Amino acid sequence: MIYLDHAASTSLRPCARAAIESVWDLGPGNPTGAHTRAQALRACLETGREELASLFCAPGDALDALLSAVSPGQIIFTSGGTEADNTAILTGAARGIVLVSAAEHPAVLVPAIAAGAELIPVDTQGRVDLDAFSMLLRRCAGLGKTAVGLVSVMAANNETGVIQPLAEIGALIAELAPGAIFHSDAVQGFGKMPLDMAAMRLDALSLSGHKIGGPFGIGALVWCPALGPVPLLRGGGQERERRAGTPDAASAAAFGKAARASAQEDWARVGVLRDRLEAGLQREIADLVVHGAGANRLPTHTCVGVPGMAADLAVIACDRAGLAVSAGSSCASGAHHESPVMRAMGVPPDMGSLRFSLGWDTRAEAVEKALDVAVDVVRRVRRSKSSPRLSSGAVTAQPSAPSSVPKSVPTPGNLSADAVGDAL
Amino acid sequence: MTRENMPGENTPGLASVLVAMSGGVDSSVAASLLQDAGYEVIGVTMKMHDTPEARGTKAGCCTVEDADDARAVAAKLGIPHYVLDLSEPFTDRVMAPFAADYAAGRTPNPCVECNRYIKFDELLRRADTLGVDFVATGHYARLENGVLRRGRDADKDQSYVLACLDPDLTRRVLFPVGGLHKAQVRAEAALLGLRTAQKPESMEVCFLGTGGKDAYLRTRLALRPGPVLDEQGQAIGEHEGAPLYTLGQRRGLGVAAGKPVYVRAVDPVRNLVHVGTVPPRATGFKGEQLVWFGEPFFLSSGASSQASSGASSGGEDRLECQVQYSAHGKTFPAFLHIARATKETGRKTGAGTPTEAVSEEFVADVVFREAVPAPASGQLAAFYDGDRVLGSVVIRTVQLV
Repeated sequence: MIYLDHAASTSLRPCARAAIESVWDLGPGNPTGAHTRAQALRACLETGREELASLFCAPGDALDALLSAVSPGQIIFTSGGTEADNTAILTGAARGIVLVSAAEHPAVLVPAIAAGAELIPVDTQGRVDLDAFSMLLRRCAGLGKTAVGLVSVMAANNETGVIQPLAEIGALIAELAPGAIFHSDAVQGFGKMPLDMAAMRLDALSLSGHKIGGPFGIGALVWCPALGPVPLLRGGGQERERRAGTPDAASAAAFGKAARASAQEDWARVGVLRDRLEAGLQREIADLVVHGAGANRLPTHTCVGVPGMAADLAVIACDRAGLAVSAGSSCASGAHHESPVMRAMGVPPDMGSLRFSLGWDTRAEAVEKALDVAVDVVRRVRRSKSSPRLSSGAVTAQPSAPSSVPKSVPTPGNLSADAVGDAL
Repeated sequence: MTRENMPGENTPGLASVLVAMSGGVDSSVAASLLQDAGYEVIGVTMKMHDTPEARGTKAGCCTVEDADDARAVAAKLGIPHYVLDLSEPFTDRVMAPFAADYAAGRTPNPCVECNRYIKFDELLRRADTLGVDFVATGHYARLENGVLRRGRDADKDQSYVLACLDPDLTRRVLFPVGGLHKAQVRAEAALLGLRTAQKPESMEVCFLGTGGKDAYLRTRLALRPGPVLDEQGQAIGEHEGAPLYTLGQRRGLGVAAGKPVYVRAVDPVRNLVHVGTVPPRATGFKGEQLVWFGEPFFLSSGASSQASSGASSGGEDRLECQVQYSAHGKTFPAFLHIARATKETGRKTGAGTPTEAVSEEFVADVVFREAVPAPASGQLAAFYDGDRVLGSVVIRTVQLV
């Protein structure tokens, strides 16, 4: 199988796997305990925390590195990106008005809308409309200096990979809503783009382990301690009373290793492959549109729209041809919904969109094969059918099975109680 | 990754089938039976709608929970499973006509329309795109060489709601549990360790939710209260909007007449509901949208017409058969006469679905042997010869006693 769905979940990095195993090899123990074993596990947990924190120092620029450094105490381990997002949004909602971009992931959008959030419009590339945003901030400022509790704008979009102008957004917040928390869901962007929290004036970030080659079930909320997050989970006081529950030392250590490897990855190499795939698709399918092509994007994503293509069928047809991709982001029932991101970008509803996302281990040959499969599938799925074929071309329905079908295959209708009697 | 866990790869030489897995026990077992029989089986769950009413209820057959059950069953059987979004055609072909029919004073059967337009036709189009040969469901009915029969389990038989299918398309349709009894199906599911083995059946219309038809229609139709009139034309109560009422309805009329009253006519134009103390009975009806599985006896003229199905045509151009006009309802003996519609359009070939082509051409006139409890306009009437389905029409005008 050719796997080009790395934005959904990417390959576990060998260094992360090794870290998990080395922690598991330590034996039983709860990192919050008092004894030596617990202390050993605690050390693994804290190493992971320190490793994550260290990645926010911009290498090669000592002064900026110091200024923008994230201290390990700012890292709160969570069960994943969704928990980190929810914690941030609910904390912000307790402080005042919540503003989130219209292109956010549901992990931000759903709790934000439940908290009565206002949506920041995006342009046709999916970027926050800065003029509209500053007007919104001014309107909110009229309600009082501290009216805005939190602004949340993702670092990079999960469907298109479009990078948001976080520095510009941070500057507007500093000017017009200085009391607001500025949070960014960096689940997609972390490890693939610079995230200088100080320069962007960010107070909080959400991260996820399995999106960067770490394990499932761990994420982090990077949080400015002065802001005092409202914990979603209360209990044993772990994570400095900001997130109760026994911390997973193995996952934390692996998360740290994966994050470091991701930050050191040659993403330009992946970007070249992505561009090749994109150019090939555009060459073969004349009216294909690359969503967000006019914006800065992560080197890993390409999301293409094809007029009149049923995206759900295209994904299945790709899968049957051995290519794993997705139609927009995945949802609970598994069906393709009209994507809120596409809607926010003004993409017409009859345009079906496929997301190809490359990972740290994607090879050139895989991309070439994927291009062939995708072009074939798009052409096949687009061919409109006014009505179904009246009989199966491959198999004659009756009365006897043709030679291409093994004898074990019954003709329709022969499947009766007698045929299954043995099984009962 | 080994070959065994690559369900996405096409396996050459195998007949392939899309099994519509609703998340219930019947379609779960259907998938398993087809797999045992040697088909390349692909499970699909059709997402039909996302109405606020049905969200979070147990009524539907395409909720998140049901898709999840179907996915779990497919995983257990080791077959691929996908969710297909059919909400657009479902809205156009089932939900919109549902409200429109009630607004026009008819009583539609949305499950019939879903079978007619969505579950087979739309699914087969997708099968074509995916290069899949057959479509299968967990319905209790049998298809043998183009002949549609009742399911072997008389209590669970669903041939009635399938009598509207395009006979040509049924060449590509399989009903694997049609030859089984429900108890056998549950036993098979339990044997396989499927989580759906003891799942209760969904009896409700999937998009209505707990409030049922009335709550659904209230949010979609402009309903006004109006008078309930007795046989003498006297107002004896107030109804909540004529479209909510169905011929023969007895309950929920808001009338205290001392004795039971029944709806005898619904007049949505004047917003009137007529009731009487006698339940309405019918001597016959006229129907449209003819679907015919049997031999086309009606095409031959006059006395030479005959039906090789075994039903008696009595040497006339009418066929004696059994008529069923509600799901799991009784059948009644009747004479069926089919005529070309006055406006001859000629049989369409190639364009449109054959069902539509036929429905434009033929109308049915049904006369019951003796008066029967009146069916409502909009319901499907299925014609049977014993356990064989001959065809169906949608009831339009009912001749009341």
